[in-house]
Amino acid sequence: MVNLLIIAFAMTLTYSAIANRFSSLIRILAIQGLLIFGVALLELHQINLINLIFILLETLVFKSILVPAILYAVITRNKVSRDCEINKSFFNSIFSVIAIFAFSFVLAYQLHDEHLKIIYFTASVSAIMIGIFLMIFRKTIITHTIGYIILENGIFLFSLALGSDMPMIVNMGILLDLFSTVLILGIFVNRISDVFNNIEVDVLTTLKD
Amino acid sequence: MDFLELYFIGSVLIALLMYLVKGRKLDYLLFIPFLGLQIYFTYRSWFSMNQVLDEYFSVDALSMIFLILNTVVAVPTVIHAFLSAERKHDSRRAVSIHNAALVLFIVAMTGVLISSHVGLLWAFAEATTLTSAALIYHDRNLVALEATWKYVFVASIGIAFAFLGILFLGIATQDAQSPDLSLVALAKSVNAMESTWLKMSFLFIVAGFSVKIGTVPLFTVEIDAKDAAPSAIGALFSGGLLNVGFVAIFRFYEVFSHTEIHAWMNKVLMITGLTSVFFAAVYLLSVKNFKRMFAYSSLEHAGLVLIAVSAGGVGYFAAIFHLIAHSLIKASLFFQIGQVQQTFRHKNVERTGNYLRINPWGGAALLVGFVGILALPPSGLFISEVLTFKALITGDHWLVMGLLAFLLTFILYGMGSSLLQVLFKPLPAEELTSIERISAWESVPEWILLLGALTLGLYPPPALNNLIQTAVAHLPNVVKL
Repeated sequence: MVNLLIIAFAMTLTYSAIANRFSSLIRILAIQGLLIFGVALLELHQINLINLIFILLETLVFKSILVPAILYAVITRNKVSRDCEINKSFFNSIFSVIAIFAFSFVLAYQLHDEHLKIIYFTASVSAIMIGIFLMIFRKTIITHTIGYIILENGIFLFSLALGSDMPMIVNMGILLDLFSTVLILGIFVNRISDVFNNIEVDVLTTLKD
Repeated sequence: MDFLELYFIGSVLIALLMYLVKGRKLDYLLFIPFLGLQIYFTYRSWFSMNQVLDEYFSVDALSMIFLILNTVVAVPTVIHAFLSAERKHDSRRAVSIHNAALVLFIVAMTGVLISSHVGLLWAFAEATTLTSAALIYHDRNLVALEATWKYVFVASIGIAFAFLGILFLGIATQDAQSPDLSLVALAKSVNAMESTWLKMSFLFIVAGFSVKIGTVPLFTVEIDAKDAAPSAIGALFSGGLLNVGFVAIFRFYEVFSHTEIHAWMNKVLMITGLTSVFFAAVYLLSVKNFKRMFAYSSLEHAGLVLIAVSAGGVGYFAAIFHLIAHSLIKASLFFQIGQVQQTFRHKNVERTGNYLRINPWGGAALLVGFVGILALPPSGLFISEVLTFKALITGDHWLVMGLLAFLLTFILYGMGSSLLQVLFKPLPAEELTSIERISAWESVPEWILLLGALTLGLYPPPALNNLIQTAVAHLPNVVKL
């Protein structure tokens, strides 16, 4: 069952690289939140109850409802629900994603370790790399933010693989999630989108030598 | 209540009060109890060195050195923040947010220094990012917004990378059958760990914390942040946060150094350090904004410190000594450059000049700081750079040494030509008369820091030498001075 959820997670990753509307990217984030919620529910049943409830709330409420809702509000307010220009061709994006998956698989097998769950490792390393991919090859600040959240989802998934033995690690992952995401979204929603009235990265080029 | 709880609870309460109290002068008065608390904490830590304070905290020689240094830099930072707020007539709201964030920033840095658990160390490093965002955004203009956004975004990626490094370390500890991430437990079990995981962990730790220490690969946002933030905050970034990033990396280095990956880690640090110095040299030749110039100079010195660590032997001592002298000199330069910016009302080197005439005491401080930062004798940095070169030669790193010497010449030329322009280039008489003069008293904190740095070069106190020797005593192949 856990494996199924993780495979579904990997499929959302593939889709995120070729989605060409902001609204579909945001929907992907919501689905990823739900999938991670499922993984946490199935995987962490042996840690104490209060901690578990906290983790489930974080994944369900924060990751799959709150963050997508905020991002959705930003795009409707700025009237940018149009295409997020993919400045690489469709084929290149798909090809890169497949290459990332293949690389992660090979890496996972190369490292073969009894404590390493290959499927977890592949999905999370791919998520991290696809997050970085979105941050490098997309042009708008909102896609960068989404890329960062996908990267964080990957890291969170990885921390769940270690979580049953080291609950502290999962709590640290939540800390990362809450603080960085809130801070990034806070600045983004309150300031950038208001002040610049434009969410292309190109406007942020005053600072240079 | 022990002093650790007193410090953390007290400072958070003071920060809260600063945020709530909205009166400019009153807000700054609240720094007096905070700095008192900071000094008291440093004083008490001295006497509980190497004792277990708590499950998660302990003070050793390394944290003690940088704790003292942080306290020393924090006091003039507050003074200069106050002076600049008074001159610029910052709004009450901006001042209250700035002050509360400053207090929490200093507390978070202290937290990184005294954490004895990897997870806690990471959480405090995350807290420094959060609080510094408010400090960078202090001027509330477009440049500040851009710098803040970039800093927060990239620092979050950095902190996520560091977390990934800790996750890899977590897998390694499970292999070693001891899932505990406190530094003491790690040091015991590290030999049973798989070296592949340790290598991956170290790579991500260095990449992640590079945004704090300000080296390759994530140094660019640090430069932007120091440019856009008020100069006093730039001083604290270069004189405090840089050391904190070093301590974060060094904690892992120290634990891993007793395994077979020690030589490999040295290579990583050497490449990181050398590329950092390279980037610094390239940018310093062309940079015309003097705040960015000092930011790039911090990149150079952070790179030098990593090279010193990677050279081993006497290099460990040199690295820490270098950080101490660099903090004192760079902080005073940032304070002074804030006054230069105030005098000329811009940051472009080419449109400045004759600063030594306009503000003799401040200009002299800039001149002394300039000699100091370029590591010319009698600066403390001269000693540490000589020791670094010595370590490189004893380690047979002739190529690195040659490259480093070559790059340092460019840095000397680049910074030298800009700074001499600020100090001596003649300005038209009508411009000179229209310039607002700044009182010589405002340069007193700089002079105190600079005299400290010169003392380090001429007569390094034996107590400090002992402390540094103790801090690096656990490393393999360490050479006593």
